[in-house]
Amino acid sequence: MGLFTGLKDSISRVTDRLFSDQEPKRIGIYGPPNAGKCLAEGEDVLLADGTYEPIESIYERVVREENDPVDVSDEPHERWLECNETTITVPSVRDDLTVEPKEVSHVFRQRYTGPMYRIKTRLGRELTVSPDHPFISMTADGVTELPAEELSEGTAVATLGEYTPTGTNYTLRPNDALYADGGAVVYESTYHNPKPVTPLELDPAVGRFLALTIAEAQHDTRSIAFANDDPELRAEFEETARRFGIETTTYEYDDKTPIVKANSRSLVEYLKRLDCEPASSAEKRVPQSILLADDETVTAFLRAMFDCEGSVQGAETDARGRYVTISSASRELIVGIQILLLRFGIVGKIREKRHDGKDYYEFCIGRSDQHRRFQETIGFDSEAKADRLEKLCEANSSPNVHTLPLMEVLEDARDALGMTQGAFYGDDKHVARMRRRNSISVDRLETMAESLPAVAETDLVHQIADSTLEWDEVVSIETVDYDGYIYDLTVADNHTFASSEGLVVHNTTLANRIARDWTGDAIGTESHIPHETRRARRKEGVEIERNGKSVTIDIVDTPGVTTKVDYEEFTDDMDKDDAIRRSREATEGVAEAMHWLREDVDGVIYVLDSAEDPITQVNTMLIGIIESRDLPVLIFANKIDLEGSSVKRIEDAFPQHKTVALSAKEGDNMDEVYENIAEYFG
Amino acid sequence: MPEATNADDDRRDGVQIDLISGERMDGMASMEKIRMILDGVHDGNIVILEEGLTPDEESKLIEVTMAEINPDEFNGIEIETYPKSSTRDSSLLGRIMGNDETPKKLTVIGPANQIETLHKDENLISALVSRS
Repeated sequence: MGLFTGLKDSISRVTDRLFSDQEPKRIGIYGPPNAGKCLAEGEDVLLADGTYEPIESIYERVVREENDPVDVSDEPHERWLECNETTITVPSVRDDLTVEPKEVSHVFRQRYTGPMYRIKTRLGRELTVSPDHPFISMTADGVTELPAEELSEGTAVATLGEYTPTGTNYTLRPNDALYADGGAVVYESTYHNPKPVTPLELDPAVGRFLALTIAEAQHDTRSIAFANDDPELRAEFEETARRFGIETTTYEYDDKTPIVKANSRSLVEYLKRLDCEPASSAEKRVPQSILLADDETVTAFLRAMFDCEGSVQGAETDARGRYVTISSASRELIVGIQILLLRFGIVGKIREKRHDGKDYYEFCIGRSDQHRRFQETIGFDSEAKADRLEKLCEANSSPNVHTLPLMEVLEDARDALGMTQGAFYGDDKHVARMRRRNSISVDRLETMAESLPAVAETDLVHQIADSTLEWDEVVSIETVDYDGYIYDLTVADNHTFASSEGLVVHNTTLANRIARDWTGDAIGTESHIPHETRRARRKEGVEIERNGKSVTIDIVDTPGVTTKVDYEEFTDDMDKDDAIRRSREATEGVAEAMHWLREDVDGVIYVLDSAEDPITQVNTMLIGIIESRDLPVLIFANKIDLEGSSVKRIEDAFPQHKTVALSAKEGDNMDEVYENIAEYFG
Repeated sequence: MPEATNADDDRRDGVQIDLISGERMDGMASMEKIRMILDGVHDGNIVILEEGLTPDEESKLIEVTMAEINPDEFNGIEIETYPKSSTRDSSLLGRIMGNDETPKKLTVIGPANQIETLHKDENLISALVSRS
């Protein structure tokens, strides 16, 4: 948005154009289409009610639920839909680092072929995003939105550390396989007379039953066989099955884990209504009914999960490696458990392990304060595990040592307040080293916040201390080739949302996304008229003044030029007629842009993404066409704020033209931009 | 329709490539060239021009292509030429002489859904052609 505001200051609309003595020059803005800031298909977004949903499914929900979808996109290959009838609420991080539920205002989708970045963090969070997609990061300047391609190993990124769901009630899923028989439900069978089950409502005991089923049972379409060495857990399974109206059978063989089996198709079908489906161990997940349940039921569920699959490590040693862990072959199950634990402010690390040729995921709670919180809120029924946890909690060996690169900001604040090191940091000894390394631990910031005054200079310290966010750290960035749809959300006010694994990302806004965004402002498209915005836009009588020189120009912003448009790319989310209309608009826009280039413009500003290879067919061809018309052309090398950008690459590709480097987003180098416009087109 | 285009019944399970000489193009008006190229591409052929098009013709080709894009039938073209050498002379004379001075460059054009550029530099174009 920087360029927008920059231009606003410098460009004023000429209202008395009638009196000007000369026709203004008409300058066309041309360039190839651009990629947005998006998440890969399949990435799950955390919703405010405690559930999560793949981003493409959120998008499709909006397409389905909007009666008359309003598309505010300005490029033919994108869809940018307003959420009017659809309500989607997500946990969103505010500027002051607090978390609150916020509504999604738009959903975005585009077709994309090119590199994407797979980001992994120290806590084992993973997310695949487009190179431009910004993470909420902590840099030497404080809280910063950093595009994926500017992250490096060690960059501090925000993840949710605590989060209270907004509390929506779970509605039992319909299941046609069941029919009601008095107060009971029965599986509808042609051949048998299945036993009815009592449709118990979700309560803590049923929550535990689901956990036992998910954690340790062979759960198929006909039966649930719970295998565990602990007689109390087997008794509990048997007891709850009886409450459902099902008598279990116990199998005990030598050298094998005893099994309690509930042989009931009706029960299997009823559990589906609670979103607990038969699943292989790699496909297990936390049911929606649990994600939406009250804290008491969630606690019961988690406790049973940890009773079965959890363990306590390192209780006997003082050394490192003190963990409360739980493991599963299903990453989704582990992520679901993390979402549930966020209610209690418990954060863990997701670790990938290989065992017997299979992938396992382990969830590790490593910090002493969180061991204590786990003990207070979840705990174990199993005495042995409870004892070991008690020992872990007595220790205080694993504080939150994650560090943030904030020493410069803090030293400035200390100077401004005229405080001594001892008074400011509460410690004199380590400050020199902290300064040298430019790193301060989150724990120390929290301690400092207790004694520092609440003034503007210490805002950040207090915000970090008060915030429930965890500062995670990027450990790897991998480039992946991508060919498919990419998606994004726009979240009202805060413009942030989180993945199901808790990584906080900044969303795309209409303003900062538009590739050639300053022209968008110069041309003024406040009224987003669908079907017209995808055509070229004009704004007449834009006056630019620089160094006493004044030039009045008409600006024509054209859609990204391409040689192909496939309507089928639009048909997934609109009917065929709309898709055809849409592709028609796109083709007309490009045809018009070509026509004007030959007939109707006096100069061209060619906008290129300096982070991308400028030598493409469309670019060479268009520059050739512009040259053959003998039109003055200025090349704008945009996005110089990005790490991979190279202005030289553009200069080398088109040495015969003046290249102006700029960052539309940051508003960098705008003086030179205006000077050159005034000079070239004056 | 140029002679190079086979009748449908002659077509076997393959991709037809039309190599069009500079000589053949010389005698044609801009719109004739564009018509010939697009007719070929509409038939699923790969059209290779020995001497390419002028910038003006390229711009018209894009414009006409856009106008002819038609749901389920035609979704545009892929066009590849060698990137211009960066030391290209853009002298005043060259500009006055206009289109005639444009360097002649081999150009490959095909249906967008059948041709994919794999690699391209100043003296090599590598493309993958598939059957429709």
